[in-house]
Amino acid sequence: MVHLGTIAFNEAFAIQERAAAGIAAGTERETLLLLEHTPVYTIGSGGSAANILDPGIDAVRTNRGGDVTYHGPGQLVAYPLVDLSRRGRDLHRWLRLLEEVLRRVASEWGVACCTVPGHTGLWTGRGKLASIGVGVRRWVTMHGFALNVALELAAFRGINPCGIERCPMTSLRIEAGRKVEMAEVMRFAAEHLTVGLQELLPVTE
Amino acid sequence: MATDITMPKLSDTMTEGRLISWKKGVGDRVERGDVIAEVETDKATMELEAFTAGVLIEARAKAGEMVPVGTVIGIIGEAGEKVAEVPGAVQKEEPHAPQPAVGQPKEEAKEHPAEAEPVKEESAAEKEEQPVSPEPRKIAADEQPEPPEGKTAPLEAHGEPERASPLVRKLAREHGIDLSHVSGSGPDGRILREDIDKLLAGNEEGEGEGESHPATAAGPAPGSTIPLSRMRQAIARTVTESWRTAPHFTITVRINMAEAENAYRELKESGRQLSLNDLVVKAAALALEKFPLVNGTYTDEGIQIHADINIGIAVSLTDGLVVPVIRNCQRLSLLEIAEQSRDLVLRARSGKFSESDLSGGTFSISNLGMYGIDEFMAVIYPPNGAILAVGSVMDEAGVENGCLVPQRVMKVTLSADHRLLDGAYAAQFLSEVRRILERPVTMLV
Repeated sequence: MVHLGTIAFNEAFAIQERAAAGIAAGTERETLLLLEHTPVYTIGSGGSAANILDPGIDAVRTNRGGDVTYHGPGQLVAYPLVDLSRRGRDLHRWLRLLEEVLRRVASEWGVACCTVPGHTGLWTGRGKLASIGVGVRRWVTMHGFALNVALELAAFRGINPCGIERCPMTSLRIEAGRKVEMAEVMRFAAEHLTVGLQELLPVTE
Repeated sequence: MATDITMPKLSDTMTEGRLISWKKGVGDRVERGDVIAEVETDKATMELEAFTAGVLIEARAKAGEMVPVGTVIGIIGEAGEKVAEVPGAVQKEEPHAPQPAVGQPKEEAKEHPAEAEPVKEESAAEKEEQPVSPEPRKIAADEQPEPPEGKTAPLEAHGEPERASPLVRKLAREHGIDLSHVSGSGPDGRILREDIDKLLAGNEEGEGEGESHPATAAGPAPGSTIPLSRMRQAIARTVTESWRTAPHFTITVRINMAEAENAYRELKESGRQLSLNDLVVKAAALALEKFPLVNGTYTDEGIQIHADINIGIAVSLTDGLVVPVIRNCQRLSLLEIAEQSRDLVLRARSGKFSESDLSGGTFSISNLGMYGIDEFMAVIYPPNGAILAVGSVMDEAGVENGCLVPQRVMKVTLSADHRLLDGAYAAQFLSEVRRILERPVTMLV
């Protein structure tokens, strides 16, 4: 597990690429990168740039699924770099695992969430709490999830998040109704990811 | 020759995927391991890597299109295959800004055209991979004229002893191949087994494929008489005996191959080596168990019913054909049949077969699907009582529940010796073959 602090998207992407290549080659171990991004909009490979309405913030296209999203301080970004070739080679199960991990993290603050088939991510009655977008290279996962902890939600108004018009967004702080420490969220995220992996996608070979 | 790129199944629950973008354009050189396209399912994308080297000769699916799992989205072939003739080719997309790490082989390919792989006739290995290519691609004429340096150009990395695995080195030793003269298609010029297979097939096949296209450019001069080779004499003797003594009748059945092709693709994707023909062999073996007369031999003393199911496969060679036999098919799984078939065909083409490889057959199969043949009738190979002639899998319009639907159809024709087999019995056998191929799950267990 590596804490990268607050880091620019491209910088973190370079770290991901290096680590993913090492994992695919068998020279590096599976890694979890935990970080916050400096403000940025990112678009999935198949996403539409038309969903970015605000020209004020950098927009980066990258090799993940999904459409547009916003990252910024106050949002926990987790990039679990996991070798799915040893864990059953099933992308949907990986996505479902990330949803389950997020659900468990949110429940630590008593926040009940749901998943919506066809709209991968984590939702509450108020809106979207976390986004998921994954890219796989040689069966090593890249990217992962972004959990809104206590970020300025206004930035999402500059986009159609996930390609959904006026998609409502929410945060752990709003849902919990109290202050939420980023360090604590990171700790739970790491813990639930580790446990979730062993439980739901154990190494099969 | 050509390898299909299909929409991969990236999850048990994935039925279709979106082709997000092509990372290679039609006509681009592709190395094994290059990212050629990106596909998406749910909120996950996957970089699709090439499993074989060659040139992207066709891009069937367009960026943004949803495609069912298993559908061919593009084709990697040899440099000689004419891009211009490929219908529905899609132009290369502009790669997006932060393009995921893709090498730059394009320029290289342009700078060293001679490094393009020599264009050969279909090699044994590839033929095995693709026994029934849906669309016949240009053979012979188009692919012949290759400058001689094209054949020897890709000689980089000489003399490094570790360019091949122990298995490949052993294979090379057995066939007397000097590896320092072999160009590898693997990473860093590493020599792969398929390179050896190709070489062996190339050596044996020369420029002609007797059975399939007798009048190739390098063929005999008109007006001359070709002396009969031993093999030619043997073939002449055998078919004459068969045609004279066995009263042939033929029946044909149309088989919907959708499920069989799915099973084949899934096995391929899981890394198993097999050909569609192996599915036909396995299906025939299962049907022969139920209809033992088809596995019989007519003699004047009576009809011999053979205890074992030994299926011969017609393999074309430069100057004729041989029929190596897969023994005891009733005891072999599909993958065991595939393994034996691959081995036998390779040995047949490299001339390394022994007499015992060719004897003891009780039934035979001749597959001309790779030449785009719809259907044909084969001459029974004595002392067999029947032979199955297999055509290619084609797109055809069919009717299901009163609706016109596209189907993947293969026609097989049984030639039967009427002395021991009657029409109704042969028909039941053939419909059993069809039943199995249309529900291939019975073959996989």
